[in-house]
Amino acid sequence: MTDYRVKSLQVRISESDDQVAFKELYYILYKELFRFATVFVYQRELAEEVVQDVFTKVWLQRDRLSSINNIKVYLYSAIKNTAINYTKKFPLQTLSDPDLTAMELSYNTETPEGLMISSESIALINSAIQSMPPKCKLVFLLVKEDQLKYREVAQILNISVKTVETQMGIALKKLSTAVQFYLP
Amino acid sequence: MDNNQSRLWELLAKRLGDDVTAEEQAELEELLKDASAPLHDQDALRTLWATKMQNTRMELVDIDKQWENISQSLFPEKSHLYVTTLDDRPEPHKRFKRAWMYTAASLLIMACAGTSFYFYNLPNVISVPLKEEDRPNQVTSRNGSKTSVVLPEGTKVWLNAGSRIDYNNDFVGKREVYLTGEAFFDVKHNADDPFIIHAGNVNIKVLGTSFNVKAYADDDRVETALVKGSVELTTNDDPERKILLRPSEKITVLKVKRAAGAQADGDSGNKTAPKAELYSISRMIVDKRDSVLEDIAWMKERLIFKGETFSQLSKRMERWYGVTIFFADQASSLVRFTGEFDNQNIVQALDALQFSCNYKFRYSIDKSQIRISTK
Repeated sequence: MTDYRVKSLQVRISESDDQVAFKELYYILYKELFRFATVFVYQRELAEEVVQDVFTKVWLQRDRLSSINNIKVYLYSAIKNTAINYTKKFPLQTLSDPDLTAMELSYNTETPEGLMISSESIALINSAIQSMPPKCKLVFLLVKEDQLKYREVAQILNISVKTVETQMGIALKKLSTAVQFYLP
Repeated sequence: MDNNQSRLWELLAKRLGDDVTAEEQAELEELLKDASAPLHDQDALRTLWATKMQNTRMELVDIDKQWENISQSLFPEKSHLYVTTLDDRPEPHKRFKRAWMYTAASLLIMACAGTSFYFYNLPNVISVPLKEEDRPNQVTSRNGSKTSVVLPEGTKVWLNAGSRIDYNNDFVGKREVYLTGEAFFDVKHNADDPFIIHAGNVNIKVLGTSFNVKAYADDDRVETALVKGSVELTTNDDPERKILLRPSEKITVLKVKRAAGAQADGDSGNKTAPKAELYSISRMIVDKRDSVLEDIAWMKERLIFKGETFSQLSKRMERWYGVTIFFADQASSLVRFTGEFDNQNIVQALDALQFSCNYKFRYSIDKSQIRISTK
């Protein structure tokens, strides 16, 4: 559904310079893209700048959008490349610790009702997530949270679909083990 | 067994992610049959999967404020005019090639006093919102793009990259325009109403003719090259003195700043009067291969340069390609080049320059910023 919506926004932006469509695209994807940027540049301000740069470029080069197959993959890749350039430009400010970054990803221990799991269990699930290797965590983030397809994740991260499968297997196993232990 | 076990996890994950093919689904069922260990609570996993996690840092981000930043930089309300022919496009002249000479006439300028509508971003439409009745009308072309316009009385103007013309609302009765940058004028003949162009310190008066004026703010001179007809030129420094230009002649007028410098240098043996130094007239140079006048080669999508220092050339490249060029050291900015670009993009152009000077410099590109340094 979102994909379909994003696709139609892409067409409106590139074909009729539609500012409203551009704004909607921005609001739909901001959170995901921002979070993805923080994987590479730890500082919030820099991650914000990365996202802003990418959206600015999208608008300025909107006539090119029509030739882009998958705008989401395009945006994620642009975030990655822009962020990596930032880390080269500002090596000190962007000192990023992949573990630290991905640690921000966790279930909310305050409101576990939706999960019907005790907050202790949540804490253990969270620590299972934290114990994932960085690459595994990143793949997990993109597949589970951002609901990207395996093929899309592979394209964005420049890895094979097989690697995505393997990493996801590892991630699920860890998660599942935590669930198994702490569920009745 | 271990292999089967990890394959099982892989397929389960794929199923949760809703990214599983029919074959994989079958494979998964096969594996599940054989699974010796009791299977984990699939429902709990599914719930867990469907629940969004949190990102603590996200809470600090003000998405609306971020949007404001973007929209302010991209959609400034104050701008007089949107010219969207070819703006913002990374390889302007490739795109423009087709449209440029052939469909230039389709451009219109709307200058309705009192109305403040504009056609936002419709290709090839230029419009002028007039908030105050007497605000001069503007036509601009940003760096990296060119545009053309037909003025209300029929004169055609081609604007090179990074240029601007302004004119008043009473233009039809009093043909006067102000130019910053470079433009080619094909002035509609009207003996009763001379057409006047103010460019830097130079004023050009014409009746009906075609000529090129180059008056970029960051250049130290104003060049006027006449293709046909005749023009009369005066400078602000010496308004009484009228200079007549004949076809194929080109006049170069130095800006006051340089003249003042020349005056200051007067002691060091330079005996010529500063006023006389202010301008020089020369013949336009014709490219032998296809008899295109060099001064208006830009209209044919060609950037010609002869014995220019890299620093001079870089200014033209900045406008041509819509980039900024920065020299990390002086040595590289002093290398001289002769040549021309026609359809090359910026990378090809830089590579060609590198090759022609035997790799005396290196460059790096970051977005539209180019850094030049010696090895």
